[in-house]
Amino acid sequence: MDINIDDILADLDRDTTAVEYSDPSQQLPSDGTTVMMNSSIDPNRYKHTQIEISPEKDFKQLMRLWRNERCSPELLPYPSLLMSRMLRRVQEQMDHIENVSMGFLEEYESLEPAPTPNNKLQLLCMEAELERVKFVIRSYLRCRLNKVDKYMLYLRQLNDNEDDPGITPLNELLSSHELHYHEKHSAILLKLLNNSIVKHMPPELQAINDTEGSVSMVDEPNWNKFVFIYVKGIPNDPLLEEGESGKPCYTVSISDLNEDVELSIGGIYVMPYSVIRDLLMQEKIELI
Amino acid sequence: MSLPDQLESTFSPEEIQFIVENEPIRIFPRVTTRKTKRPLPMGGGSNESVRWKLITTDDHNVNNMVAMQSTEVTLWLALLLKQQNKCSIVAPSWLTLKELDRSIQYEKTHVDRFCPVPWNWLVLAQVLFKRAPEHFHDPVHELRAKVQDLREIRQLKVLRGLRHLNESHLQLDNLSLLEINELRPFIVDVMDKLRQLHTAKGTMEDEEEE
Amino acid sequence: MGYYDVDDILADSAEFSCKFQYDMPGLGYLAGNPGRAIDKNARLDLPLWLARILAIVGGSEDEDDAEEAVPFVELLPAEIFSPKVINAIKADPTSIDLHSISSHFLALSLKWIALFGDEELASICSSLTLARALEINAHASSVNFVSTAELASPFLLTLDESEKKLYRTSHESYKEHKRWMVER
Repeated sequence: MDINIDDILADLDRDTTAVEYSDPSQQLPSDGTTVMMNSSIDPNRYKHTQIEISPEKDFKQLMRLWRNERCSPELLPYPSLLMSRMLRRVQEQMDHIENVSMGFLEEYESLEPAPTPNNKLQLLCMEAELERVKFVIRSYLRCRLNKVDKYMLYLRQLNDNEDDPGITPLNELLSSHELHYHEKHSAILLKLLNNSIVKHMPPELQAINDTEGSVSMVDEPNWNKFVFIYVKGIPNDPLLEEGESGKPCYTVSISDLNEDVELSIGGIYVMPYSVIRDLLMQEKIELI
Repeated sequence: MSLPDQLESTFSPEEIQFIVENEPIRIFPRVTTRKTKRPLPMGGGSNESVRWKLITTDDHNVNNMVAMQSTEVTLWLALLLKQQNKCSIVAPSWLTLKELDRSIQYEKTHVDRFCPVPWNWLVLAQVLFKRAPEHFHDPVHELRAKVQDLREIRQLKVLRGLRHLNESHLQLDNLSLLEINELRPFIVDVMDKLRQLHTAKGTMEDEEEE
Repeated sequence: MGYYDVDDILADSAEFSCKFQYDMPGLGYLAGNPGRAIDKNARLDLPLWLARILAIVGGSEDEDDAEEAVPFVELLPAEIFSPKVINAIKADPTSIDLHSISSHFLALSLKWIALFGDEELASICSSLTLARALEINAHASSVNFVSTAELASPFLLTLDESEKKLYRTSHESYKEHKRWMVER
């Protein structure tokens, strides 16, 4: 279930489609080109991935990440491998739809004893699906860009604290495109600020990232913002305890209130983000 | 800019519907897509153009539809097929007058909790009433009225619950996604404020301790 | 909250009565008398951002004495938190006109509580916030498509800035969901 291992394994096989089907009834990848590529690959290698990766699971994961990103106050790490798989599938599906709609694949149809004439229906559904995937990807990236803008200075500072093990380095937090955008955008913005105002001020008042004053100049995510969570849990988690209600639960503590709260599996709670952040990163809860 | 302000920490009802549309639902297809002959395991593209290829959901079921044999597909696909008159949608078992009455009864007898209806009940009910009204056994206008009753009784309960908003946390089991989303801006704003007040009074103590 | 938060800046510019605890040569411009001094025990309304720092930092000729130093000014009991206001809040939080007392009442109370560690004010403000929030919710959730919803009830005119924001966002949400329910 650990996505990182999935991703690493998937990356080895990133140009194969066949390995992604976990359903044994689906022995056949759906377009000829990938079959050719598969045949050149050591069949032993994708035995592991066969269990783990499927387009269905990837899409579910993307939906989860999209919803988490929309609800969390901070920018969450970018799932590079998942996204590259999703984008590749979108591209392949676009090509596939084009081929089907242009009738390039009709020659195969004649091999079929009783071809069902519902290409149109099939195309309609495939196109609708494609639009749905594109919507989630767009909305997800937009949400991330919004946070990249909002926390521009804060993210720049993360880069300065590289040695702190508690901080995710910027190049894991952002995709390479986002990194590039963040760098360029903040350079342009800082230049504008400097030219229009800051350079006309006395040197000691020129700081734009002073965090020592009574109010920090750098906007940080509101770590204590309340968020809605669904407690999903992972099977056989040693951290699970039996709660008061008899149901398995995680116990979290709200330190400044000196309160312990039991989060039962299947429950819905409103909690301060900082309290449940670790559980979120471990994919034990989802933001809803 | 890149994301409209009003979507910054919540979802639009359409987005909630989108989320719900990825859930499976039972249908009776009116077309058959199952092949008479199974394709060979690695036989190369034998019947490409008639196979359905989907990239967000398992396409086994849509490739093995047999007319009038029930199967399960995602809701958005079911709605699309229905629109093309290619299937009828099986209403979920809780969406009948009898079951809705039972839920309403539950809400009335349990003042301190919500009835465990599915997390997507309200969205699913509304979407099916609008898009597949002819597939219900019970009269749709009566079902609509019952759903509305259930919604209102739950809203009243939520309203009573809001009195207990605090700076610590809240448990809202069995509240559905749409209901949560509607209340989200209010609940988050008030709890954030209460927490700020709590934190403010603590700042002095912290300084004294230091 | 945040460095560039306009409401926070506006709240910080609200004036509070202070009593100077020293003769202050040359500060007369604060009282509209440029060039003159401000006398010890003089009372003056100062914006909170200035009053706060003057009330914390002490002035003493003797550097070693810094710990014990009497601050430059003493913040006098604030009018917006006077017993009269507090009693009115205790009596009926939903019927007082918060906006006329201060358009940033809750933001200021936060600052005041942080400044004095005033637990009593904190608990009063908590129940005030909650009681008024419930009333705001009642107004926000009454969605009327015939546009009378925008006609402000008297209560809505008594909201402070943070409450207006709460009303706006929650009303917007109720309206959106109602619209969706009707369209579906």
